[in-house]
Amino acid sequence: MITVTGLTKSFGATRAVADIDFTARDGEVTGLLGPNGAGKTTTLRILSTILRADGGSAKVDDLDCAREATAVRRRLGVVSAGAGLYPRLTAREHVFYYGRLHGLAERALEQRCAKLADELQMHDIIDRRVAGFSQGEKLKVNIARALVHDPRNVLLDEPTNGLDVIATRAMRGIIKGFRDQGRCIVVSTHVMQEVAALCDRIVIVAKGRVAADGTRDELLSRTGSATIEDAFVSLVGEGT
Amino acid sequence: MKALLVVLVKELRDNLRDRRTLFVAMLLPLFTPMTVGLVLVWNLHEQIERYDSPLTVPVEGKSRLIENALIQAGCVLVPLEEGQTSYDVAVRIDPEIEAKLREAKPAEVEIIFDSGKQDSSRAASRVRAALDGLARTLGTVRLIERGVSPQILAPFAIAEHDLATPESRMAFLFAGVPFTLIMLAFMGGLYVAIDTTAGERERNSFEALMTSPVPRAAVAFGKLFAVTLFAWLALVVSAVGLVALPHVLPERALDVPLKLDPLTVLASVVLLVPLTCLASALQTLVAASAKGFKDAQATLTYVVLVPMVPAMMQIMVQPAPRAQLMWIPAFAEQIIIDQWLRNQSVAPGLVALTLCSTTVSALVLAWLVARRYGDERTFLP
Repeated sequence: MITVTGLTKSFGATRAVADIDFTARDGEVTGLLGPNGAGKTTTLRILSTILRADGGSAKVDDLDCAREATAVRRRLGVVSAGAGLYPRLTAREHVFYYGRLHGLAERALEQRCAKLADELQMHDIIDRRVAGFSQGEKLKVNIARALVHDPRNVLLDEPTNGLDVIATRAMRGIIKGFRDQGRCIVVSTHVMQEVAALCDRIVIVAKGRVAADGTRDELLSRTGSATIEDAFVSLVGEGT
Repeated sequence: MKALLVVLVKELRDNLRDRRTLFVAMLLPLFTPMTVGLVLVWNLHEQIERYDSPLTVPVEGKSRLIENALIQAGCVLVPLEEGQTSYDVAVRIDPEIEAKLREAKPAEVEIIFDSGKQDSSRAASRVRAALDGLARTLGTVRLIERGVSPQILAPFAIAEHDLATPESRMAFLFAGVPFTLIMLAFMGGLYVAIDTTAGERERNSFEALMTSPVPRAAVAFGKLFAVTLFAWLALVVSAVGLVALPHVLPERALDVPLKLDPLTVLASVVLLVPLTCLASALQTLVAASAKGFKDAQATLTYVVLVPMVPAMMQIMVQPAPRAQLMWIPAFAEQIIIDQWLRNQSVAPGLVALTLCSTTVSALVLAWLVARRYGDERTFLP
């Protein structure tokens, strides 16, 4: 479970996160929906212990992201669409590198790698060097290395960015699979269809604050809108 | 410690697959032994040319005495053709020389050469030496014939003892070997330093690495050791090349006062271990502050120049090892290796001072690298 309370973070004079609260439960996909620059990525970076918040708290399974960073990292898998890979290493070497960093034993690592290759359907690419991989193939490697330690909580930052239709559908299938395994999933995105198709709960973020929080139907009925897009516009305004 | 090893092994595997890194670590280091070998072979060739090989000398005019003197000095005499210019040195003998010699009148022998050409100057001095010798002998004979001691013309004897003779020819080697070894300590890991920090950030892979549950210092030191190992690999390749030289060069080429035995070369490489750590830490620190691969490459070009300044000073001033100088990293190592190559010992205290000073500097820089890795600006795109 992920709990964020009164989170704030500034970079110099720029206030990236002004006041964000939300809770993401196990077995659910929670979507952070907001325009570019709303503070979604900064929030995820605080949760993944890359950045330290200026105020408020971010907790993963009741562990504080600032004070218990190492314990948090053990329970968290972070997938960012923009994250790069090492072009001279194979997909398997990526999974093994991260597995070893997580302290997994070699035998367990081999089993885990085989399981991930099954789940993500990457047997044909597992022993190829990643230079020249398609966006979809790179994303699979990215997910495999982030989940090598079988974390209960998964953060995905714009996971379908740059993917074609087929790869996007496959990606959604993978995320739903994680949810069905009982994991706590937080997806940050600015794509409305993604939220509608995927998320159990939606947190709308604008200008570093939470504009609304609820299930899809709750948001639609609260705003009297027919689609999530209309609900989003009525909540954050056209000018955002 | 385990995390450090995981990072180290990954960086070694990753960079061993990079052609640029391999070129710098495995091929560039061969430049030192190859240059040393070329200079030694060239030096041998020059000596053979100077003293042993026959020298063709076109001659105009006739004089049995002079011709004999030249033939004894290894010259092959041919007639000088009208308008001929294709020679290193030619000799024009006074047509009346035999008569003038008999009458003890001054005669002229002209040496024609081009002082702008090294080969020509060298040939001319060989001819001049032969003619000087003959002139001295003839003068001595004349004085004795007149009952005068030849010593009267020599109020004092000049005994030349040129300390620089063999060494000066070898000056390039004495300056070049330590200099290129120190440059290698700074060059060997350069690409690895860039790839593991600025490259990692440019690829956007740093952030994912930093979400793994290992101390950031372990990541920093794992990368730092990888850079150091590549720099040291470059030095070892170079050292193996230097030690192999006696086996590939003609025997006489190594008849020079340059001490290149395995022990001296090994000692030099061991002496440079702290310097490779220092160079790697400095490069990692600079690369970690750069915006990307190209920015790091541009900045690090200047960092590589840093050890060149004291190195040039060493070559020009040639200071003896002393405590006031031995705390300066790179400079001190160069002085010591220079001395060792000249087969001169350096006080163990001074070697220890150098090792300590460079190690402390390397540790300070490594600490700064670890601190830099604690800063989020290092790994955010």
